[in-house]
Amino acid sequence: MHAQPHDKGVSVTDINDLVDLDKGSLKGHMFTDEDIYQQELDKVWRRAWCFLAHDSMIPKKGDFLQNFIGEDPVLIVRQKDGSVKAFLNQCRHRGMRICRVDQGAAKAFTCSFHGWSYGLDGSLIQVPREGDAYPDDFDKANYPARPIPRLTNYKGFWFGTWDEEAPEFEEYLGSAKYYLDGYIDRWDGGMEPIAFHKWTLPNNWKFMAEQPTSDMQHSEITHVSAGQVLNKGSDAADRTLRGDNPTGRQFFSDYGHGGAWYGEKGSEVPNTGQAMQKWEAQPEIAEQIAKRLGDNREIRGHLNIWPTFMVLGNYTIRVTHPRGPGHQEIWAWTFVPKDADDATKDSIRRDVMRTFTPGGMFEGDDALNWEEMQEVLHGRIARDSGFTYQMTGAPIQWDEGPYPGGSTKHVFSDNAAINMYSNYVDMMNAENWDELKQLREKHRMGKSN
Amino acid sequence: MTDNVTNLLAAVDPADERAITRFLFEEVQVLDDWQFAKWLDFFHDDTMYWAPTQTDRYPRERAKRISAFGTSVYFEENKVQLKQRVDRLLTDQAWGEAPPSRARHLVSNVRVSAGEAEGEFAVKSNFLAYRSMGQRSQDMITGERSDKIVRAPESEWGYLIKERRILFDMAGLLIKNLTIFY
Repeated sequence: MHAQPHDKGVSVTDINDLVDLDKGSLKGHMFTDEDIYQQELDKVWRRAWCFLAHDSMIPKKGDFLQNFIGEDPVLIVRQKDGSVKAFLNQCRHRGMRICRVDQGAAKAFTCSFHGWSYGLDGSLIQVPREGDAYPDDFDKANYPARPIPRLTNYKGFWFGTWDEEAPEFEEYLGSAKYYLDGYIDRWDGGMEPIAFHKWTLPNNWKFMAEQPTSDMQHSEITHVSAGQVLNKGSDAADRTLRGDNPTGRQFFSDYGHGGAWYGEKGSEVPNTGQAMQKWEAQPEIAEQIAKRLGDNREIRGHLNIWPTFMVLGNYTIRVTHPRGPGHQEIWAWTFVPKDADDATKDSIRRDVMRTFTPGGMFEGDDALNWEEMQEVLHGRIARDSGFTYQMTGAPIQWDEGPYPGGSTKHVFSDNAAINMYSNYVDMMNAENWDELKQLREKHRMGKSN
Repeated sequence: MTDNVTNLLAAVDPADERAITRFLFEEVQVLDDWQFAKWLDFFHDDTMYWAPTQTDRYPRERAKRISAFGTSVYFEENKVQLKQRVDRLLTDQAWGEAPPSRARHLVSNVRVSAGEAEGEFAVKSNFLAYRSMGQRSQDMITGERSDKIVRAPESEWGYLIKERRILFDMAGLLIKNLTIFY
């Protein structure tokens, strides 16, 4: 529906010509150029750890979920022995999608083109006419669905990468582990998703990735109308508690992750719905959290694990998928503590639905911004003028108090965005993970090595 | 899946059928004219306005395709909550709709059946909502409304919407947001 002519206006292939992080400037080309996009699929999406599924989405043997790594469709499947395997959702015969539904339960996956059939582990188990039309030395073992070679289960969340040389997931997280755990490792009973929304937006994927990584400040302006009607008389957090001149902190990690929250240590203002706050204030739950996290860890505003695993304090947990330089899909789950009472779970579900889903009163305004930014970039001059990342007034601190890694003593800062794009440029330049690690060490911000 | 064919034996007085059809046409006109405060007057004080999501499933799991009330929904609004959405649009700072989009709702296939109680009607209709924004942006979404409409002498139109379920036909939405009403 939306006019989106293929962008062939300018032939630019070198990311280094488009980014000047010392001057805090990014050129619009990097959000429109098809050559850059093809490089991203190879150098970012093939190398990064990407979110695949949560344990509770595929509880029983044969349960599966279709997801994507970049533009590659993958199937994540619960095996007979309770383990999980994941593989490319592409038939090794003629390349058809093996499985054409979003989720379900299966005993095997049979391609609906010529009938090649794959087991739950992705191995090729049946080829029609194998006996009479194929040569004797044809061996099915040579044609499994392509497995994702590296999988890890991080506290119930499955991540995978195509890159055999990628560091272990916890090393990839780096200092972000402390902050991610502050959202997902609070409760003994773990988490479960109770709602799901999927939609498509006409904008480059990086516009959105940047937001939970680094951009809390847009909320004051973009979301002013939602705050006016939801601060009172809704399930949402009361955002007026942040004050007119909010304090807070923003963190960033070596491999591009970032996030931020409101308030000073000990008087934080979490971006968490009222029911969740009340449920967590119960002594036995508060005790659980303190025991699991070891400190009074309240860091819940927003967070992104590079490239696009996003968590907001109200517990929308989502992943986005690039769809060419000018489009993306958002896949967003609403998570709740498994042990919470039904009323608390339902309040969290309603809060997320009414704020951060396609009909959500915050989300709809974000979509408009990103669409307009992408639209303006049809202009030759617009693509060449730089975007500005100069909100770096507050200093970067390292390992400050309980906060590991680099962080900024302000909830509003471009530091985490600059770090995100610094990691992005290094990924685009590095030939392999060894080189990337060296580049990241060299480009660590605000710290003399 | 519930059987979507309405029961002809439950057909109602043609006068009600005509009046309710007109009621639905007036309602979308008010929407397209951005008279959202007036639009709320079409709803019963005890209304429920909701919209399930859909996923692609195997034919054998088709029953799971449409999400249930209280699970994955785009809307689940009582009248107070619906009013919050309206109030937001009327702040003139709801940037997704400021400047306002130009929308046109087409409502068709209206089928009015008797409801569960006297003075209550089960009304099915289909809709197509086209939206134009700015110079180049346009989108469109279709779906089915299942309304519970009650006779209400206190209403300007003689009827009120007690419940509306909106079933969008897209599984993953291909429009950027649902900032207007359906």
